[in-house]
Amino acid sequence: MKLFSVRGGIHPSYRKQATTAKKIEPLPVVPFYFLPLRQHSGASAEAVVNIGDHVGKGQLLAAPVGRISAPVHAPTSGIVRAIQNMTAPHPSGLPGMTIVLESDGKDSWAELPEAYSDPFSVDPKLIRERVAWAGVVGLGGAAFPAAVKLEQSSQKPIKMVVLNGAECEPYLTGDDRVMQEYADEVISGGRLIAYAVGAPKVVIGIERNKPEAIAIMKKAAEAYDNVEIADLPAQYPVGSARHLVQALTGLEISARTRIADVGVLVQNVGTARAVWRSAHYGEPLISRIVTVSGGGMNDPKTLDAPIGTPVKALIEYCGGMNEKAEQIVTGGPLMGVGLPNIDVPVIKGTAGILALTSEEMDHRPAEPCLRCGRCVDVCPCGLSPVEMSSLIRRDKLDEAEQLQVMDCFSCGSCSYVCPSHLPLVQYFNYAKGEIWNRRDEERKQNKIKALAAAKEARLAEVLRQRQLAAERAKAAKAAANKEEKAV
Amino acid sequence: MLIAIISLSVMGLALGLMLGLSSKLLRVEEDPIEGQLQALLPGSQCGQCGYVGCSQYAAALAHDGAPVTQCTPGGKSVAEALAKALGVSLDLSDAEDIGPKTALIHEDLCIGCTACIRDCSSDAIIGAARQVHTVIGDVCHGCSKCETACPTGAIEMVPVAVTLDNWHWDKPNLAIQDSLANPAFAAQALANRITEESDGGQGKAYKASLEKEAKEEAIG
Repeated sequence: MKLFSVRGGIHPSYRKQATTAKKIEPLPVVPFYFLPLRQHSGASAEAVVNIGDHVGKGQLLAAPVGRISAPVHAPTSGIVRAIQNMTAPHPSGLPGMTIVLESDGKDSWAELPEAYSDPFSVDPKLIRERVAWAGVVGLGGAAFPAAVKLEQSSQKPIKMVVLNGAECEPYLTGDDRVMQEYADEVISGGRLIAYAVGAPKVVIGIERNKPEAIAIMKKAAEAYDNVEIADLPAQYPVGSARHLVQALTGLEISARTRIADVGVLVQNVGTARAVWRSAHYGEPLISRIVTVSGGGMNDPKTLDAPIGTPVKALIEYCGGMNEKAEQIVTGGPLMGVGLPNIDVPVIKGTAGILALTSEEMDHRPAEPCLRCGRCVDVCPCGLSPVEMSSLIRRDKLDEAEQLQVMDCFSCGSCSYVCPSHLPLVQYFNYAKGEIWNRRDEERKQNKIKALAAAKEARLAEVLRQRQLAAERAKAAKAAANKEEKAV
Repeated sequence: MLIAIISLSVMGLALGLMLGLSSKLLRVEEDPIEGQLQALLPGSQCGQCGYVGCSQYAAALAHDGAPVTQCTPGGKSVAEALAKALGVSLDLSDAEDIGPKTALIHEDLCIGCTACIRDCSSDAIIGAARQVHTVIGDVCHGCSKCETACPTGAIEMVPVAVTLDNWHWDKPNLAIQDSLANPAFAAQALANRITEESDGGQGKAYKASLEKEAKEEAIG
């Protein structure tokens, strides 16, 4: 199919060969699972089990709260041992509510909802409800609840469902392996998503550096007229949803427009598989594909890891780390973040666990900016990192906001090419967080202002009523006096 | 020639008349800056600034040159906004930014007297007589009026906790542009960074020259 060019981007060394030819291996059951109540973007789920409860594999542990949220299910059968604050798999190392599940070793399933043997014959609404029940979230890393996306898209005319198999981050091979080993499930999932939102066709975008996956997917897609495979150029970050849509349709989507508004729905290939499994087998999302790699890992592998497994167990399964390993990163090396320790669990958004050595990281000290403009050339969003970073460095966040720093999605291309090794994307991450907090603070101030005004009005009204009552009492007293005199 | 003179003078007179009339008719009674400043203030009339309420502080800012750093609940961001609106420079070096705070009621000390509820300007405390009170964190802006009102000292002002919801990355710590003033870039510091392992013995001469420079600096 015809492809369109996307501006900017970089061509990092892909380093996928360590795991790309190895089959996905299922991770054996471990004694304890840790299930944070917040593994998705949106509101935290709320526990619906109690300490001491025995739960079956796939049983609901925490229910979604509010409009954008997702449930959490038990990855194996066992006993709920604690519901408490524990270190989250988050670079801050801050605590988050977590359910601790002790496995009973039986790994026996709880009662699951009806498996739709032919999901295409049931009402699309039931499919969307099933996806919501299953707690499927975007498995590319952003972990946005899939059901919310389906619901929003079902109210709009969707012309095309795009499955994202670009996997442009170095090292990661999870999507690649899923497409090679479960091509049928991925394609069925894509078709089912299209069915659930009433879209006529499915396009699956795969970067050209995955020729095996492209060949297998093309073969599997032959049976369907409305499924097409697009081989994308290997260009980071073409796997970003907005840029993928641009490469496939030529439409450039502004940061403040939903992709669904241009008639496209994007889901990761792994998400499509999870959607299919939730409908066809009635299975909730309780495991995901994780690439365990990096120069510091002894035996890199792609694993099918139950959600909640401690990162340590994955590393041990891959032969442990060698002495060169310096930093554990979750996600890819460009957009991933460091982990506070290796006791934290794998969550729904964990696409990779990388043990990076010092040669794989850039520790060179920052030097003054040369104003070479390479960051401007590579920015896929058309921003000006050189200007924004110097404004942020001088705490001029308002000006940086005017230069649209909030449109930056932290792909890190600017930091990657900077010849002065300036922490550009790190400045933008800081600025975005700070601006979000300021907006939140402003919202809070407005609320307080309204409340203060309401209280003032209420007090004034009370005062007025009191005066009125006093006047009335005075009048009544005067009338009584008059009567007395008359008597 | 005559036509030009006449038409221009008629136009001049007409426009002058219009300007004169509009200055009379569209006269603004209140100083606009005062309202503008008041809109920037939290508006909870807590009185921490030393004035009766926010409007009085706004008036003092506009006319009497009151310092912009007086608003406690507003903190650094309000001070910055006020300074910007007034066009004054803001020196926060001596003002310690304690960060946002929120009231916390120690339940074992609360006697349920409702004194704090009456004083709270944003209705952020709920409770009833002889019932333990509690604070709604999302609408408390840390003016600490309740802390003063509490007869048993049950209210403490605590810093707003950093959670997974409001955490963000720190600002990268970079001193390159100020390298001359930065001790990390002093000759001795640079020399210390050159070790046998880092350069395989190649940087010995450079290290020696840096050390010599550092000695000269120390003498000079």
